[in-house]
Amino acid sequence: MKWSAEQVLSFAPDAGTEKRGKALAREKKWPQLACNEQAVWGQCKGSGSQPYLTGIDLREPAFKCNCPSRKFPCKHALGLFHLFVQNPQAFQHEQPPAWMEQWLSKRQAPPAPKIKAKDAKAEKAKQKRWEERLALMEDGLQELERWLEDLISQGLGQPALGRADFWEGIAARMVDAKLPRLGSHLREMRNAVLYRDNWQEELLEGIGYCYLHIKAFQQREQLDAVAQEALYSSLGRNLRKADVLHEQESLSDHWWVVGMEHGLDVEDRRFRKTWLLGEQSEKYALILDFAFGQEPYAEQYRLGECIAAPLVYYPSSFPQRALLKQQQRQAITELPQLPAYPTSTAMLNAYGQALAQQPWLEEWPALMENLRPSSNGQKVLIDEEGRALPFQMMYVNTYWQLLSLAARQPLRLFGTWNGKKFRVLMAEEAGQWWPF
Amino acid sequence: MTWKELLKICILGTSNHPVKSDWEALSEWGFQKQVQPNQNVLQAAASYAFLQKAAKDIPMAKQPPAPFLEQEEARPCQRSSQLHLMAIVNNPGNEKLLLEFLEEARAAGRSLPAAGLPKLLDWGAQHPENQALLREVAAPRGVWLAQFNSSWAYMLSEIDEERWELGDLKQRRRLFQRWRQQQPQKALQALEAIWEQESLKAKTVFLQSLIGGLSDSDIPFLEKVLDESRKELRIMAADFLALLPNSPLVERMTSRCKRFVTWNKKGLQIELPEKLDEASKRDGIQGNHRALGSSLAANWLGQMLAVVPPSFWEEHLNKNISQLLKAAWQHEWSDYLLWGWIEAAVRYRAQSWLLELFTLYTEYPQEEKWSSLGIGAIFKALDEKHFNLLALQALENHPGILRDDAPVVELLLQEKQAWSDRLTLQVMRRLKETIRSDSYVYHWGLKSILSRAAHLANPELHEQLSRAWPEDSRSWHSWQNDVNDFLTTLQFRKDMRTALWE
Repeated sequence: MKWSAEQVLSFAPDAGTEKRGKALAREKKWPQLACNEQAVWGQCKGSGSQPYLTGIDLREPAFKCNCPSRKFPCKHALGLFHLFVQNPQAFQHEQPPAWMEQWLSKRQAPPAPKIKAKDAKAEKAKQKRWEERLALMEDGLQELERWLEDLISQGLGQPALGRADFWEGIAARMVDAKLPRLGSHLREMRNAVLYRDNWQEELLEGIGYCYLHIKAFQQREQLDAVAQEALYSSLGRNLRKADVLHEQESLSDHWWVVGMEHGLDVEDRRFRKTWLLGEQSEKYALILDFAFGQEPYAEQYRLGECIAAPLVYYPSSFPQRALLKQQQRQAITELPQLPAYPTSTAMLNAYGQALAQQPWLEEWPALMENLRPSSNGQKVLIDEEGRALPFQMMYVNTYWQLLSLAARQPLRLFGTWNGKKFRVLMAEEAGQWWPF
Repeated sequence: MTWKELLKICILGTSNHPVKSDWEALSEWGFQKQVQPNQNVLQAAASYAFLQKAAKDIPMAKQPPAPFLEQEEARPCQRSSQLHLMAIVNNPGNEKLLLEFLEEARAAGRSLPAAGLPKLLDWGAQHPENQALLREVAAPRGVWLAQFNSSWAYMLSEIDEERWELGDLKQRRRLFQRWRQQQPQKALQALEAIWEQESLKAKTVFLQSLIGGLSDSDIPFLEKVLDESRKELRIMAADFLALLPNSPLVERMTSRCKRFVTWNKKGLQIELPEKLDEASKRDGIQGNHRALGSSLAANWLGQMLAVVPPSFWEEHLNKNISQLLKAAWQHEWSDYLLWGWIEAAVRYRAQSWLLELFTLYTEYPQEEKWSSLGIGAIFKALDEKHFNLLALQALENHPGILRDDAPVVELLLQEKQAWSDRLTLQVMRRLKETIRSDSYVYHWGLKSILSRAAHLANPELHEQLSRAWPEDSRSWHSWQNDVNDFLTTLQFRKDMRTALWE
């Protein structure tokens, strides 16, 4: 596919790297430049004695460079990409050198997950480990139940609720009991006490949420296998990516990146949620990535791009989280008309049905149309029926940006509904998608 | 049991508040009454928490959304221009690029990207000097938006007269500045109407704001202010009147000065005023002001000269500028004379005087007194044509390696005047020569010239300017980043302009 300067620009991790990368997009900076149908590579003069080896797999694209930078892609990769877009004639068409060949072949055929021989012994050991884990979980949930009863008995007005150790002790206990999601949930409840105006209501909802998990776990044998898996996942059981890729069936489609969200979780890990919508299947999928510190994410996505790929969902009664298999990025020509809810009522009806299948849903992706921002004390999105959908703003500016975009016509918005508020992640105006 | 009742029980605690509730309402949702009251409460919380999510009702809006914008808009920007603008507004410190973007968008007849408008309007609220430009280039969507956010009221043409009467001083100042920009005469009338009742602080604030849109029609009001009892008001009014060549104050000052500065066979003659009369004080001459030296009388004369249009002296003394400046340079009171004339040349933007003053400066660049004479101000007052002329001449007069202390460097560090292509190419040629031949690496002034040129040079020269930098010179490592930044900014400006005009 042909890449544009604008597309290259969008891969820059920050303005500084973008600027430095552009400065390197000059032929004389690169003693060696070459390409084939699949990739480009080159050697860039740096401050060290040896030139840096930089390569780009054009299919996704993916970047590689042996410079010490922690930015990803680094300025060399961006410079090389810019130069390739501006002046492809400067690149000799040849076979990739060994270092490039090795990297490309690794990318082309990701190592097949090492499936352990499922002999009876290994299976038995696995089952035993799972039973031990279930026992730990059971103990942990019993302790949480007693703790919740004490909390209700002493009341939410007790001053101890403001203390970190009041929450930290039980949250850490949940992590030890292999219930990390409940641990995070308890830490979020403490944040609600500290930072929210209506914290008592939020706390009571949080208590109800924990108790629902406890009771569901106690009655887990009445649930079918998929519902049990959804429960364990909601409690914090993580399936290995390799297992998911190996065991689940894939769904091929043209997946449009309709929304992205970046943030820090309660454990200070950077996370990125990339919401995809399948053009044919009309299904949503969530690609969840984590990274520590400045470490870059393995894959780069851009709002509005289309990825033709098979995708596998994590097992759930209402699948959301997913993994992409081999990806092929598509040049964007025209954005498709993706299915959207015409009213808040339609969106909530669908949400209710999803909850009936998967009661642990934390967020619900929805593309909605005919929304207009309005403010009458509270900032809301008014739909075609005149209903005022409350929405969550990450920045004060969000409301004004939406209002500006909606000056001439109602908006199509993509966002997530958490049961209370709609969080806008993308707005469409005049055929263009804007990130929020 | 309602959610509110449940919440009340939980806040108080079941040990402090016995639970006497019927759980009927929840039974249809699978609630099963337990022996332990705490378990009932927890079960109710779980049921309600889930129900509130699953069966949430979205209420009808209390009022309909605002009417749509109906006015036609100019051609929208292309996607790449939208990305350029977002890159500029999301990175602080890019004000020069932002102004250039807005001016180019106006010239190209493009409407601004809707998603970027709120940040631009916030920026405008912090930069009153750019509000007139924003009103033009962000209309009509920016004006439509401003009706919903009082911080952006500067975009609206209606003046909120109630706020002018009842608002606090900060609001009234903002309102008055906007009024003054849009309808200078009406604003002046509004100020005259309330002048007598205002406090000194308010008078100072509003008088300062008159500077935007100053014209001859302000003269009668400013003359009245000269009779105010407070010195700070009088001084400010005199300063403003001195900016209006047709004002009676300038006329009075000219006739006052005539007798102190004369020319006879011996050359330039100066007679210092013996005392400072009340009329001079009324016209803004400050008795104890010492711009230079210790002679009060010479300082009075310097202040008077600063108000008289410099061309008057050519005619009155029948000498050309060069003769006058040379005579002043050699005179006993040279510092006071030159200070006054520099001030006057800058005030009236007298280009030929500015050129001659620069020539004098380049003849004696090592003299320490130049900075106390305020020579820096003449560079700012030069118009584009004379700036370029002077800079080219100065480059020719200073052959060889450039150094930070060369007068031409000070001239090239100005931030206002755009560079001609000829000047840009000459400066870059000289910089390359300097990098090639000079291993000294601490040329901070010369490196700053590159950051000025990045914004003042014609971006179409980018390709030409990218060539032939002496990358193998010994000092290149110290220049590399500055040259890269210069070329990158130039390239960005080129792309930005191309996208707006395509």
